[in-house]
Amino acid sequence: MDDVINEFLVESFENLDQLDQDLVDLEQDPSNTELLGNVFRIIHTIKGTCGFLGFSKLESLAHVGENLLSRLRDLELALNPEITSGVLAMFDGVRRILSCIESDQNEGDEDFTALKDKLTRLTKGESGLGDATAPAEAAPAPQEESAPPANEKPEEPQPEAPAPTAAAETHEEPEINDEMEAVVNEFLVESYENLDQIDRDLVDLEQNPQDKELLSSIFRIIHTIKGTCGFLGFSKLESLTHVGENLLSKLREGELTLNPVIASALLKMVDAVRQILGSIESDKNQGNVDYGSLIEVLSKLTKGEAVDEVPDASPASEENPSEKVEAKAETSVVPVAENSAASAESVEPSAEKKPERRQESRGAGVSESSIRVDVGLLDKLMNLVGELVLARNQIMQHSSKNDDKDSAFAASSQHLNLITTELQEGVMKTRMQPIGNVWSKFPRVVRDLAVACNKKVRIDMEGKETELDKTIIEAIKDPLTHIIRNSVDHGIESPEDRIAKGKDEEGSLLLRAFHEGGQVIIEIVDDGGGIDPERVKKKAIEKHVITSDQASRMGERELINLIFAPGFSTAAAITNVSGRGVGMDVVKTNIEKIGGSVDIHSKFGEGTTLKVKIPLTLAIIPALVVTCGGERYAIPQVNLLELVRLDQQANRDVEMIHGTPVYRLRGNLLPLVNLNEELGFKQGNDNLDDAKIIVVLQVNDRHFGLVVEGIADTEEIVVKPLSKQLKGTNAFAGATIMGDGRVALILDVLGLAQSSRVLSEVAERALSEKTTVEAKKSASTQNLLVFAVGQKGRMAIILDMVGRLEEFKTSEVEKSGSLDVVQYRGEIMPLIYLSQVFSADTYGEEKEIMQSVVYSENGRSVGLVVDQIIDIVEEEVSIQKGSDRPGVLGTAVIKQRVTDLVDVRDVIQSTIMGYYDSETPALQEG
Amino acid sequence: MEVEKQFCTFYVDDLFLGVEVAKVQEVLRYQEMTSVPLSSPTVSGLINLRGQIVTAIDLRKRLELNGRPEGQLPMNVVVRTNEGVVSMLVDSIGDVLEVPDNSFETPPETIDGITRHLVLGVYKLPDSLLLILDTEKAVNLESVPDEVKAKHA
Repeated sequence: MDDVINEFLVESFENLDQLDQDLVDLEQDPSNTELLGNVFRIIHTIKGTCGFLGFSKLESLAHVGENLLSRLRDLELALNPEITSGVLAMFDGVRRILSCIESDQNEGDEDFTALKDKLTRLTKGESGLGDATAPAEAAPAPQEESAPPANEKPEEPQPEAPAPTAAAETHEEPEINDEMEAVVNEFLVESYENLDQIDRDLVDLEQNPQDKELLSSIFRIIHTIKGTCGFLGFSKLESLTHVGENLLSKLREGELTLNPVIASALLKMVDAVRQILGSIESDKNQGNVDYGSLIEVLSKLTKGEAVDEVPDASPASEENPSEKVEAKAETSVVPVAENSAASAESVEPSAEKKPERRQESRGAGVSESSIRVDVGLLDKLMNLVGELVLARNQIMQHSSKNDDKDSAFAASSQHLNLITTELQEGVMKTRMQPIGNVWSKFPRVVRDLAVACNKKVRIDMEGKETELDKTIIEAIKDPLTHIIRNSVDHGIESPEDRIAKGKDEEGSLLLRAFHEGGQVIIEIVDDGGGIDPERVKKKAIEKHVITSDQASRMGERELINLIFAPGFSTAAAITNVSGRGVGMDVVKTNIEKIGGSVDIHSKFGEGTTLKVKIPLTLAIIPALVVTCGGERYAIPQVNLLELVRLDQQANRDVEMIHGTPVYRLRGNLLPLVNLNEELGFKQGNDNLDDAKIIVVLQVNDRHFGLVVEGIADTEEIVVKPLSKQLKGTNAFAGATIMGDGRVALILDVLGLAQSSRVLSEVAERALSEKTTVEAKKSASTQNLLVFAVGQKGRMAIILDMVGRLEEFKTSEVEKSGSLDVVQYRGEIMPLIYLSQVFSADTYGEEKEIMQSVVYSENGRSVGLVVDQIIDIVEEEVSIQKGSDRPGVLGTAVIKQRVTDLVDVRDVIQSTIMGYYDSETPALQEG
Repeated sequence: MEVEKQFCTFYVDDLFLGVEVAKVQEVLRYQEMTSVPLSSPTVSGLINLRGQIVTAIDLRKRLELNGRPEGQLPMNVVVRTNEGVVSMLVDSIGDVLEVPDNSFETPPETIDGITRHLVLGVYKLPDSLLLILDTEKAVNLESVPDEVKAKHA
């Protein structure tokens, strides 16, 4: 019995989740009879099942719900928010009773009379008056004593409720569209499974006709099939199962006893059902076999009349075991067994009784293509595959060492490699579930919340089918719910506010999921009020999350990110929805726990977008293996952006800011973290001059470079947790076993970033980036002349200062004192070799032609000799970093290269002594 | 009738220690270890025990004894604890001894510090004393004697 109940519970919980969503959808589209049919069916099934499981309380609740839904379905009532709330409250009631049953096998002592009264009134078309919208306390205390008492007691449960016939009569052969097809397929799979069960049960029952439990199980299955057919519109199947159900109900109530004739008739019915299902599966209609005689026999049997022959259920099938019933009565099982002679090598004794299935003609039908598997088994498989991956890695390493010695071994290990990879992918897939499974409950959450806050919110979903590992799905359920609650409660404004702001009265909440670079991105976008950074700032200071001094230095984005700080909430009042200040930080921690990250973008007044990035799976991840201090460490590739190798020359690109090394990576400063230091191997920057490898990592949208000694390899690693003794260190996320069997630690990139204070450091950078952006906006575009100086240096001069570009032959250079000069337009023009000024390199004397920039001021010119003119660019210049080097105004990134801006006056001043001293007399002379 | 208990015995520096046989999963010779930077010095590293990653705790350090002489490789006594399987590094392995229950005594008050804290009691053997190690406390690095706690407080 326990099994039956458990199955019922699992099924019902699943169905209820579906119901929540359907009902909310239905509210949007009240004319969708298909949805309504679905809702009705589920409640009907629950009700029916309760009937013979003996859960009378649940049954009576479901019964009133069914009545209401039936009126809705027959269009006698129209769905309105009140009814929706009532129905949702009923679902909650059902769910609570189910939970009680789950935990202690009884229905609990909650009183649902008020709720039932309300539903009954709603059914009669009266207003419910009661407040059943609050889902948390959906069993409303009977608050309306004045309201007319429900004199219409819920009727006695009628398990054979012939309710779902209405839909069937309306259309004989229903059109099956795509959406419908999924429902039908599900129905087919379930029914096939159940029919097999019935076959076994019936035969068992014949041996033991008193077994009520067996009888109930058979009854339930037939009843479910009948009910489902009703609104799927399979009228033929429905009428067949209906008579079967009647017969079974008599048997169950003890009015008839099972005898071989009845058993045969029922088995024939099962065959007929199977035949119709097969026909539905293959060509979407019920086939044109006439079951009239079978139905007649069944009804006769129900009435207790004698039948002399059980007609064959499958006139279409080849063998017609048309024995007389008398023969069957003597050897009750034999004819059926003969019938199944064709059905090959069934081992199970019960399976032997299976009549021939239509397997041959159907091929691998829907029912054969899926099975239910215990999650525990999948977890175990996953672990084993993990071990296999490790063993594979070891073998691969071994084979690469002696590949030339034994090519057969190399070949087979290569083969092993391929198979393992495929197996790994396959097993991972078995654990994948569409994210829609989690999302399905959100429409309900949003609706309830919106009603509670008097808001109007529409929820849209994109990418429901995006798949994720089951464990991750479980892990993100709560954080996502929280985010969504937040969006509705804090984000979306009241309809009045929205209209005042010129927005659509109905707020929109968009859930979007998609794959990107081996990760799954989930975006939660609302078009609500957005986050006011000023308000966040005020609150944060108030709650001592930050000091006002810190606040003044924070950028808008950083301020918004404060909502992830522990103990922060902007809600003016604590509602039961949110505002306790334990929200977003928990969301963030939980998501980071599974290796994900949360990012928030908000535009005040326009809306907020939360972006959650999560890995596809947790167990096996690709990683980069680096070496440091003689040990190997694995870095999850999720965090990896790129690798930069610096040779000794390029090392000068590593600069220090307050003792912290930074590297200019394509124009942005990348803070560097030395892994050696972080792991406590070495202190100081004594190896700054060595060639180094920078692993550019990303954490929370911040980048930093991890300086390591070497890169070993990339490898698929199996993450194993660290023991408790090592939990104190936040530098490691776990450990793994490498190809050679040794243990390697997995670096926790987030932990590293935090312990090396990159996160806060970079926060400042984000701020400075922002200021430069602002500076850029104010600065007008400038034309710059870019040229090369020395081996690698790039410099630029503002084009306005450039008189001309000239080329001189080396032979034209003359000496005037210590200065090199040339004759230029009748004047003597001194030359300044910029390469001598700015770099140690001497100017290549061997060059015949010198390129120079003529700089003119006050009628006098100076030739700045450069190594090569590169380009003239028109760019917004932002001088990123002031410089104390003489002759340099600052540094800017021009065409993605770090370029020094030449301070021409300073250069002339320092090179040609007294150049500007003579300026005044020169002017006077001129 | 005398009740006898079985102990797996081993030596750490000059101590003769024992752990109830039932708690010992296996005894291994020296295994290559991966050191864990930033961790407590008591943690010697991680070993790969047939695909399972096991933390190795140096009992010399845990018992605050002298460091192991250079060149001497420790042995692993792998024990099952509430915190999972942990390997304890010891100098050498002794016999499995059956000792009568009546020779048991709680550790004398005069043993000081950490040793007293980590030892459940003493069996008086004819030619030596066998100290019984409290494996749960030994592998829980946060477990320190009360007097030390008091000092810190």
